[in-house]
Order: sequence, then C-alpha cells, then structure tokens
Amino acid sequence: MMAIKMNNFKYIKKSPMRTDGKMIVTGKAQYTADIFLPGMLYVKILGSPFAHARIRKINVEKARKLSGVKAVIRGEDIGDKRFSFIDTPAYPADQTPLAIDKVRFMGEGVAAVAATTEAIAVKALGLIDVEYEELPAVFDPEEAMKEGAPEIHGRIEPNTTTAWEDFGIPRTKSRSYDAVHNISNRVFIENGDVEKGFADADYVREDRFEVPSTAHAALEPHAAIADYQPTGKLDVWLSHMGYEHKRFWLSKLLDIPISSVRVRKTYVGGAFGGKISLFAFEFITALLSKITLKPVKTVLTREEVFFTCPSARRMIITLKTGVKRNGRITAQHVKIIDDVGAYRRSSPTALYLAHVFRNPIYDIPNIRHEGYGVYTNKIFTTAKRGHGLQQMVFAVESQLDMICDRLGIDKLEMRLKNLRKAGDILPNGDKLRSYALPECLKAAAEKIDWKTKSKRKSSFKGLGIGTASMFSGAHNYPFASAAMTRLNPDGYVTLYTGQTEFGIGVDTVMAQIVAEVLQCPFDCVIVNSGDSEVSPHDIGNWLSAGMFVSGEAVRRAASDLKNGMSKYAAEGLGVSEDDLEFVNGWISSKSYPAKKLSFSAISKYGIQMAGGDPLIGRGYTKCVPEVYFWNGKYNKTASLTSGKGRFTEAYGLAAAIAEVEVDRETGKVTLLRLVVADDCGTPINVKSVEGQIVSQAVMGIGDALFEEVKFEKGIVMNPNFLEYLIPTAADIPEIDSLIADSYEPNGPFGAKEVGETSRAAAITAVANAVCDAIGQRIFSLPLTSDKIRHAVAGKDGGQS
Amino acid sequence: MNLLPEFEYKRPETLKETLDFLSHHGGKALLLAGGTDLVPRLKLGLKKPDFIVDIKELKEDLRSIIPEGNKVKIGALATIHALTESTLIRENFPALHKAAVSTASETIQRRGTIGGNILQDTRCSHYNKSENWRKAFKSCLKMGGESCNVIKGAKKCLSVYCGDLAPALLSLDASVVIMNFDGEREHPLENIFTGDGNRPFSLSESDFLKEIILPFSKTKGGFKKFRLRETIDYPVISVALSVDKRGKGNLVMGSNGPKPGKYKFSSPEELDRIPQRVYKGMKLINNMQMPPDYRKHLAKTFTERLIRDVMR
Repeated sequence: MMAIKMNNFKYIKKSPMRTDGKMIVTGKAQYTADIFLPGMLYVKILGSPFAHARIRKINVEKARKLSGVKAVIRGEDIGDKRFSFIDTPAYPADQTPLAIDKVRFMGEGVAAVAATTEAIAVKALGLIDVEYEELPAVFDPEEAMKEGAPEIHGRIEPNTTTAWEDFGIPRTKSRSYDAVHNISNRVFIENGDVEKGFADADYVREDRFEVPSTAHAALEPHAAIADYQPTGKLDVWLSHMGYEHKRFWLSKLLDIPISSVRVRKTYVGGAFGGKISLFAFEFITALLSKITLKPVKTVLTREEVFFTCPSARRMIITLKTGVKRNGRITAQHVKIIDDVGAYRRSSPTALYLAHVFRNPIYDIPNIRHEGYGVYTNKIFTTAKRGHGLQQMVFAVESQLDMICDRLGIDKLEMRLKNLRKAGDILPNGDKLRSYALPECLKAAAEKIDWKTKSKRKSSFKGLGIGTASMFSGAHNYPFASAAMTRLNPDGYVTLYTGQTEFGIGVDTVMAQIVAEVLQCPFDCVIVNSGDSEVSPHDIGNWLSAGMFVSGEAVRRAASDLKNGMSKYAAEGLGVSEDDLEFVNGWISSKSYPAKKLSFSAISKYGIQMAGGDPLIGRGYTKCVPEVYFWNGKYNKTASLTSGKGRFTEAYGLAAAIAEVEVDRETGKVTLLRLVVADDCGTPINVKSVEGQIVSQAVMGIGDALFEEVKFEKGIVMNPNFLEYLIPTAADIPEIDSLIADSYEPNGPFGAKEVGETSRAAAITAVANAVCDAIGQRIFSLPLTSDKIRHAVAGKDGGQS
Repeated sequence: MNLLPEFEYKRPETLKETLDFLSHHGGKALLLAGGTDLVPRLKLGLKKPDFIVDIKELKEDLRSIIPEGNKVKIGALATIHALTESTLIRENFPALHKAAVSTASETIQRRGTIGGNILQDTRCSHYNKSENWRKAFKSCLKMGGESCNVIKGAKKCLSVYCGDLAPALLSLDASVVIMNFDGEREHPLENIFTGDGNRPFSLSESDFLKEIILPFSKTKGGFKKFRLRETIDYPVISVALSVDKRGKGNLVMGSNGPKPGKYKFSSPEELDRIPQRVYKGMKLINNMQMPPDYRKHLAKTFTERLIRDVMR
C-alpha cells in the first residue's frame, strides 16, 4: 500500500463492513435463482444443433399436448422483433429472441416451453420436431471476409427505433445495412500524419496478435423471473448490472410502456461486463409470463450460459509501430478484425473503445486505427471488463517489449518516455485532469525491484510490464444518473439509487458518500438500490460509470438534503446557516455548541413547522455534461465510426509488473509476484478498491495463462468449469495492490474508475514476463504451457 | 444446473443384500459410494440406470486399512482422504500416499473412495459432455455408435483412464478382491483393465469390488502428475514408481490411454531405459485438453524426473 493521503475524511478512505456482508455470507441474500413465486412455471429453450441452417418447419403439437406444459413458442410466433446491445441509426439491430428463418450459431434458440416443472419442460423440448436444412457455415473471420464465403446476414432493414432515436437523434438517420463480405461494422479513426510518422521513424515493425474469447464465468447462473400482471404491469427479477438497458428492450419487444416494466432489486453473483444488455432468454421469460399470466422462471445451466450468453470479444490485431532510436514512438497503425460471431451486438463500440480506452496511455502523435467486425457462425461476443482494451493493450505492450529488445532500451524507461502527462488534452478534447500513470509505473517498479531484477541474466525467470486506462463512464445511453435522499423521523437517511449491487460493494460505498456529506453515522444510512420503480434514472454499472457518475449524483442528493436540513436547523435554532456544523448525526451551532438539533428533530421540525416538508434531497449528473443532442442540435456527441466527439470526463489508470519463472521442459509458469498499481482517484472504500485490484488481477492471470472459450466447428468445446480453466486459489501468487490516490476534481470526493484497468494491465504484465523468461515471443493468448513449451523447443532446436 | 435423471434409489444394509440385488438387476443398477465420479455422469446423461444402489451404509467394514500378515488390505469404501492420513501407507507405500494427496482436491478426497477412484470410467473431450452437447456429433463408440468423433475410422475407443490411484497401486503389484453372488476371487489389479475405452473394466455387471490388497513390504517410490491448475484437475499425464529393497519394481503411466501402462524392471539400468520406451510406446489422440505430442513429451519428462527423485 502506498501511503494514503489523509484528507480529514470521516467515512471515506475507510473500510466499513459491507452493508450486505452478513446477508451474503449467511446465505440469506436472495439471488434470482433463489426466488420462488406461487404457481411459478419453468422455462427451457430448445437450441439449434447446427451452426448454420435454414429452419424448414417446427412442429410443437406433441410438446403442447404434454401434461404440465402451459405454453410453447417459436420464433415465428414472436415475429421479427429485433434487439441488440448498442444499436445505432447506422447499425440496425440484427437479432431476434428466437430464430425465425434460419439459425446462425450452434445453440441458438428456436423454441421455448413453459411448464409446471423443469423436468416437464426438458421433456417437452424432446417432443419438438424441427426440420432443418443445413447450410455451409464459416467460423474463421478472415475466411468469412473472402469472396464466395457463406452469407450469414444479407441486408438488415431497421424495424425499430434505437434508444438514441428515442432520445432525440432524428429518425431520418437510420438506414438499412448490407453485410457485404460478412462485414458487420467498421471503424476508422485517424490523428496526425501516419505516413510522415513512419517516415520519421528509425525502426518500424509490424506484428499480428490474436486474442480468443474468454468467459465472464460469473458464479451465479444466468437467471430471470417474470411476473406479468393482467393490468399490463411486468415485474422482473434479473441477474444484471443496470436496469435501464433491460427495461428499454423489454418494453420495446413486448410493446408496453417502459414505466410498466419494474426491474426488482436482486443480489447479483458477478457480471463483469457481460450482463448489461438484454439476453434473449430474459425476453422469452417475460413473454411466456405475459402469455400464461403466471410467474415464469428461467435458470440457465452452465453449458447453456457458454452456448447462448456471449463471452468476450475475439480479436486479430495487426500492429505497425515506428520509433526513434531513443525509443520515442512516432507512429502507429492498428488494424483489428473483430470476430463478432452470429450477431453484431456491441462490436461498433468495442472497435472504437479499443482505441479510445488506451488513448491516454502513450502519447503517440500519429495514429491510424481501423477495424472491422465480421460475422461468423459462432456464438456472438460482448463486453468483459475493459471492452476491447485488454486485446489492444496486449498487442501494443507485447510489441513495445520486442522493440526494446531490438533497440537495447530498458523496457521501463521506454514506457516512461512515451507516457502522457497530467493536464494533457486528448485529440477528441478529453482532458487528463488526474493522471498518475507514471507514478503507478514507478511505484510498481520499485516494489518489484526492477532496477536489480531487470539486469539479472538468470535464465527462465522474467519480468513484464502492463499498462491500462479506462473511462469513468461514457456518453452512451442512459447518459446520466440521478439519486434521491430522504430524511426519516427517526433521523435515519434513506438513499435511493439505481445502482445495482452486483457484488462489488456499491451499496456500501454509496452509504459512505452520504455519511460523509451529512456527517452522520454510517449505520444511519439506508440504501435502497437497484429497483427501477423506486430508484430514479441511472446510467448502470457499466463502462465504469458507477462511482464517477452515480456516486456524484448520490453526493449531490446528499448535499441537497443537507441544504434543506441546514435551512430548518437555522430557523429552529435561531442562528445563521453559516454558523451550523454537522457533527455525528447532530446539527449544532459553532458559536453556541449547546444549541443543537438531532437529525430526528429536524425531520419533525420540517413536518410540523415547514408546511409538512419531510425533507427530500435530489441530485443528478450527466456523464459528460457538455455533450447533448436535442431537436437536431448536437454538441460534441461521440461518433463510434470516426472517434470524434467527447468520450468521458475522467480516466482510471493502472500499471502492473509481473515476475515469473518458467519450467523450460514443461512450459509451466510459476507466477512469483504480481504488483498492480491503480490510479482510481480517491479510494472511497480502501478494502473494496483493493478487492477490485486483486480480483481483476486474478481475472487477468486467467486471461494470460489459462482461459479460452474453445470451438470446434462452431461448438463450444469447454462449456464447463472442469475444462474452461479459471485459476484456482492454488494458482494465484502474492498480489500487491498499490493505490496511487490521485484526486479527480470532477469525481465524488475525487474518485473515479477502478478495476477494469487492473485486468488489462495484469494480462500484459504476465504475458510479457513469460516471453521475457523464455526469450521468445508468443503472439496469442492464453500463454498455455504447451504453447510455451513449443516456443522454447523451437529455440532449443526442437529437442524433446 | 442439469437435472438428475429419474431412477430408483436403493440402500441395502448388507453386502449379501447388495450382491443379491446386483445378481438380479446388475445391468440396470449402478453403485453409489462417494458419488464424485458418478453424479456428474448421471447429470450429463452418460449413464441412465434404473437403480442407484447406495453402498455407503453397508454393515460390513469396507472402510479400514488393515495390515494382515504379509498383506495390507484396504476396504473399497476407504476414502481417498483416509489414504492420505494413513501412516502405514505413507511409510511403506509412498507412491500411493503421493497419488492420494494429489487426487482432485481435499473436498473430493473426503468424499471419494478408493474403490470408486479405481473404477472411474474413462474420459474424452467429445464424450464427457451433456446429452444436448453430444447431439451436435454422431453417436460415438463409447455411446454405442459406429464411429469415433476424434479419429476418423478408429476401430477402438481410445478414451483416457484418468485415475490417480490405480497407477500407484499397479506400481505396488496390488491385487483386488472381486465378489459376486457366487463367491469372491482375487485378481492382479491389471487384470481388471481391458484397454478398450468403450468398456474399460472386465468386471461383470453383478461384480462388486470389495478390497484392495498390497504385498506388505517397505518400498521407496513416488508419484508425479502434470495438471493444468494446481488443484482439482485430472492429470494431463501421471506416473507412479515403486521400488522394493532388491531394486525391483514397476513404473506405471496414467492418463496415457484407456488403461495404465505398467513397466516392470529388475535393475536401475533397466529402469533408466523406461522413459524412452514410454515415449516410443505411447499412442495418443487429440481427445484431451492438451495435444498428443505435448502429452508424450510430458510423459517422458515426468518419468525421468520421477526416477531422478526416487532413485537419488
């Protein structure tokens, strides 16, 4: 731990016990799968056994007649209702909840059953008769781009408005999309003069890197419960990370007002970026409840999660970099092929994020970033902790090490020379108000003793560096967050926030913010979170917006309440508001400390003496306040395809250094040590921040050494936790977490993003350390022992 | 979670009752001891028995590790954890002790039994999957089909035996006592392996593995396995070695095919030649998580390392 600057906080930079800790460790916390409603039906969904096939006919009569079956639906019963993750006017949604005319990946849903027991639902699936006509399939994105490759999508016509259009982007912008050569989307961002940059360079190299899909591996199984009322109201319990996206698409697909959809508070057993957008099974659950007017539940098996819920993006990155002899980078040209799978989903965002997330790390004067999303007949892909960041950083940092080796430059010096500086303004106008990446890198190097160890010549031990940066929320739908506070007659304060407690301690940190503003005991704050009916508009827990955006809204809502309380306290005590201070749940006069009122008394005063005002505070903030669009007017709205416009207000940053030892005969890696230094601004809750850093570093170890969703002809070959290898406690080394503790002026009490960066930095640090140890470069993740052994054997002349 | 298939649950009180039941319903019944291998297979739909016969509460003592003259008898229901805790085993049969310690994880060791561990079915990347997953492929040899989904034209199933205890027991020249309604008989342990992944054991459906017998003499030895993670995982390759006072013994490979590979030796010189024989003799196909070439390379490396460690 770096020394934490003391700023006289009473509840912040502390680590109070989690408000939900006792509920979780005693098994009392209710996750969606734990909830049972009277008369509930159970859903099973029939998946396609083909990766690409035309659906000729689906006969469901036998299934319908099975005793206990209450409803059976097919794609044609639902119709051409399409949804996507981030759809834009340029990229109309391309997916239906159940396949209608053809299936595009193995496991894609073709029919669903609701029955009185799960066993009956399973049995009913076996009675559904589907007639397929198998079509030629394509699994490799580079094959899919070739002339004559099987066509996965033809022309995609928009048939619904997007969230952006609903919020004011003119409908006239939307257009049809032709997926020529299976290209689903593209990005082209250019800053500076790339050709001149390469001409100025003393050394230029080009390499190709591949990053496979890794799974989120949330321990809670994906689950949904829907309870549709005859009044047209829909209650849902979901495992998710933000309700606005869920209810937007549920309302759109069910054609009911968004306010009729209530997403209830649940505990969530891990999301990691994978649960923000709507899952087909969630809609199917809701629809079956609407059809049967009964509560309906779906709980996926682990295999169904691997088959039908997208894992992280698969990217092929070709990277060309030019440097001066002294190590200064002059130009970089990036070309990404994003193997999106059967549906486009968030690829337009990912391809742009692959550039803009890592933009604040190195000051590269001339840069060209182009990318193509490509359809293949595999399960589609999505965001996972640093959407596109870790793939890109793996390529960039791997290549930097190769450049250093070639030019004989110290790898730490090279990086320090090229990092950006605090106060820098990025090409799109984003400003690095807080930026402690150089300090993070130096601190990590000192901790691991870079100076001595990097000069060590001992074979098969190595050191590696990784860096990362990340938004603190982005100007994407739902754009902004609000919060409300309410003073109760007993002096307790209730906070209403739309933030979802998905495992990271959101409820606890939000309570800390309220307690700090009001200077009341932490236990006196009651957090009411993640219920769309009760909580105000919220951006959700994605793109690392939670603390920076919603945390600031909470701070403002607490301040607003404080202002109201001050006004009545001044009246009640007969002193001026300037003379008041909030101390430990009391408001007292600084001049006459004996004059004081408790929070409880203020509440009663408001009700009795101020016309019944029970005191309610409100706060709201936009992720990027200067961005707007309204009635055809735009200001700095970000473009996904050109990378123009503003992205975010603050960047979180991290640096990691790993030390490894490799068994030269087996290729087995022993992680000796991993240091991760994170610049997250003010750590509101120190233990939570450390937990974020360490857990994300562990996730990164998995990406670097173990994890890969493997496919054979489109089928997932390792759809279980025996074959999909998450590192176990026995595989994790000592991890040092350092907190840089910079201060982000626009964040609540100086806080910003934490966690997503640690994963990307750790992946690259471990990968680079392994390559340093063996003296060979491995260009694809994960660095499994057989790959390492193969690389070493190549160097040894292939001796076994 | 995958649902268990429907079956009738039986809990006999005596061995006799069990054998009687098996003699009538052998083909349709499966024995439940620790369940750590059986239950996942049931949930994947790999086995669909009419009866599950729970033998955990049998009156007879099938859990003890007892020295008896020049033999050590281990009851088939002794847990793997009990093996790890036994001083007798640690001091006399280091190969078995180390194999037990490195089996799965402690939670599984506490539940799993030696009998169940020995009789665990063979594994394959294309077989140990759900019924739904397997629909994407043709029915394979092990599922009763005509062809193998890994190797075109394969005549025999090459699914892999992944047990950790059997290689160690084979290195110690263990034998097993098999009972059925007609009586009991003792066989060398290697005789129960068929070498056919489709039907890896020669036991009939009414047979019951009662105990394991080891010749009681102090050995030196060891066990090594390579697994992808430091706990839980099945071995990518494993090797056991036991040497008696005269320098004679066995080196046994595990996870090398449908049955463990036993290499007898009667001198250190002979033992030193085994790694090369292991490497040359292994015929692996791409049916596990790691490619065959790498598994062969690991087999040789681990054999050499184990010999070095034990003989030093």
